Amino acid sequence: MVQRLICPLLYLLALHATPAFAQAAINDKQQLLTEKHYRQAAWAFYQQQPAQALEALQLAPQQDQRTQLLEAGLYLQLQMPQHAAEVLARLLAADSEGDNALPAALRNIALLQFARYQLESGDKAAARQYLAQVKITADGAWLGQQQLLSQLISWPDIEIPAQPDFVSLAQQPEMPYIISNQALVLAKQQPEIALQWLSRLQQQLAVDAPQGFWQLLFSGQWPLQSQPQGFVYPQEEQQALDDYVQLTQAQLLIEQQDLAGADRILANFGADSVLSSSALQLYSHILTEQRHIPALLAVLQQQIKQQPFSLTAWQAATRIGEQLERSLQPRDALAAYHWAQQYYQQQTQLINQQATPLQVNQLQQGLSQWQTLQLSNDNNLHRLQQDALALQQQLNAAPQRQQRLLQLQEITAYKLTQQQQLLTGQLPLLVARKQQLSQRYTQLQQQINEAATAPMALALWQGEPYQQLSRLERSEQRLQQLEQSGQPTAAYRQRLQRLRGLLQWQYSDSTAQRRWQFQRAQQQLATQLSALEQQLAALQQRGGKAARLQQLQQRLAQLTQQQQQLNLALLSQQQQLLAQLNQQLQQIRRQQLAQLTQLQRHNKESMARVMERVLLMADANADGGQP
Amino acid sequence: MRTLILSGLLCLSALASADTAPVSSQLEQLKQQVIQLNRELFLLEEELLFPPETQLAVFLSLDSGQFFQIDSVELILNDKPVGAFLYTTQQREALQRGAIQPLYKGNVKAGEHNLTAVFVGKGPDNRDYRRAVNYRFAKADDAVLLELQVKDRSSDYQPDFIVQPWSND
Repeated sequence: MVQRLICPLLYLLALHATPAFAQAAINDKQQLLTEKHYRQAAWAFYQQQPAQALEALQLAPQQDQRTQLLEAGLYLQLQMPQHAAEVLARLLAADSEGDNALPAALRNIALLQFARYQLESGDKAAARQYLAQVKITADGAWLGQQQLLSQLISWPDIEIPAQPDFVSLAQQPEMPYIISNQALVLAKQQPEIALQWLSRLQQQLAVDAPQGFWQLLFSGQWPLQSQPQGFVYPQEEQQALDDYVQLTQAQLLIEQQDLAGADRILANFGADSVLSSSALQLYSHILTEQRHIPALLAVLQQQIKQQPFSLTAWQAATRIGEQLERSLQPRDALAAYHWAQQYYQQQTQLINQQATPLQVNQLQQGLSQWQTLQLSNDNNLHRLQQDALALQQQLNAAPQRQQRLLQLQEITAYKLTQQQQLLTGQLPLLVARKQQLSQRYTQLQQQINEAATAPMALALWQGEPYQQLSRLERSEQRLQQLEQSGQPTAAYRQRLQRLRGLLQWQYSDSTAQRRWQFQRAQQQLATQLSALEQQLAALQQRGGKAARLQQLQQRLAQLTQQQQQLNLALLSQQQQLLAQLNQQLQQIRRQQLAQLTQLQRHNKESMARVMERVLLMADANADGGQP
Repeated sequence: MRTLILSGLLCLSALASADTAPVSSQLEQLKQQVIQLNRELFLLEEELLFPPETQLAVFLSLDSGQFFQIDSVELILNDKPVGAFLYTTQQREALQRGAIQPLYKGNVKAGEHNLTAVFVGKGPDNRDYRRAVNYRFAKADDAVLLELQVKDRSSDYQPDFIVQPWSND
């Protein structure tokens, strides 16, 4: 029931996720990203994936009031009312005015939601307190919810207006519940007026038969057709509401001893109504009072058929015999009691067969008829079943989670190996290459410098001129040696000087080209060095991630352990729930068997009594027949 | 008899029985642990599988959608198809209500890339409509987050297809 408001709440919130709204509200990047997360959460919600929606929402950089309200709604979708309540309490404690305040409609929904949660937790005072904070807006939105909650909190001391307020509640889907509750309380003091209210309510709920084109054309009410008069219920709910009002009327008429009036209502009550079992119970009561035996027998048989494994049906079985006995048909009554006896034995047998302890795999599908009935009739059992199923859902998702963890562990290990290879293999090679290039660069720089200071330095020569200059220098050295030995060398010196002059001329002629070549080579080296340095920096950065990867590896190992513990906890919790469920089912089984035993005993007593009467009658007939 | 009606009324608020409170509390704690575990896994996946240096994420949103009813979208990255999505009525409605769909998440190398999105659906006057939108981007150290926006263009009553990058800093 906590979830009654979830859908309107989330849909209303989703309406606020329209791009137009977003554009108006976005001021900075953080808000923009929050908005994007919010809208992604809306996508997951519409895909019926509340857990993913919550994940998207909680990863948003900011948590504004609207985000928190959506978060609360999603917690409720995930059957986590306590977390929802915490978020709602925080939200409601925040400032209700100002620029960042929650819009009034959303605030009202939050308050109503929280009040309902408090009521369902049994804290009526807190529920009343939060309900009092609801400020209904001029359009009357959520008025019906407010009034109905107020009735549930104050029941049976609810406010009774002088007249049923059909006008202000016209567009509220809760209108029939509110008015019928008022009528029920009013009936204690003024049953006639309460009946009048119910009749008026029935008229309000009546749906006009659809008119044909020509009827509409000449009715003069064409423009009014586009706008419905009040809230339009789905067809099934409309029928159920109508049946509920009729049943309440019949109930009040019975209390006023107007059995004929109640009979008129119940005789035409729809057999396919969701309330047919309650109607049958009331009808059997009237027929018993009125002693309409044939009709009553038919009703009792209907009850037995429609309500298997129920006390009503079991009582109906013995009541058939009782009614026949009352109508002085002892032989038929005896047959009926016999049948009832067999029926009880059969029911006992069926209960024992079907009330076997439940296993987890049976919870979704595979429940026996008896188990299905018990789980649908008892809120506590239903809740236990739903909780156990929710845990099963979490357990079913565990292998997938485990797989994700495993994949991440593999990736981390792979990346760490990559890091190791990087640090031990590639990085030293690159460092050596860098050193080599740096040396070459320095050499080139030296050569350029030398070229500037010593234009004929041998180191600056290359190729054929280098060889020529080398030979010249060798010749000059030999000439020196010859001069020292006192030989005539003047002609040689002249020739060598000529050759040096020629080489110098050649060198001067190609100086600019050579300098350009050196500078170009140096530039290329500088580019290579720069690229190498960048590569080194990138690799060193990647190498620096080893520590982070090791942290991640540790965290993944922790998460794997956590996941295993969580699985065990989920399994253990599920077993506890299942044990609780089975215990309560066995308790119900024992109670029902005790009821059946008691009814069987009562039936046997009645059977003995009727049998005695039949025997007496037979004896009397025999005596009367003898001359 | 009175109980019959009252039970009908009070079924509106089937109150939680008090003795199930501790169990429900434990159950919530377990669910919260599962949520936390999933969230942490998601963050680790982001860091390890889609680090910002290589991450490319594409989202899709719809503004109003009066002039274009989306049926499908195909994503082509550097001339290679990387993803496609076929929309149900429910998903289309979700987009019209303002939801943003996470359409694609993958890894790309640093450098220049070309993304093409091919939209197929019904255009104005319920005519078949097919439109491709192209977007060039440079991948650097930050994650690239792109939103494909389908907007209504009131000037000529035609849909407009835009690729809007998100600032991620």
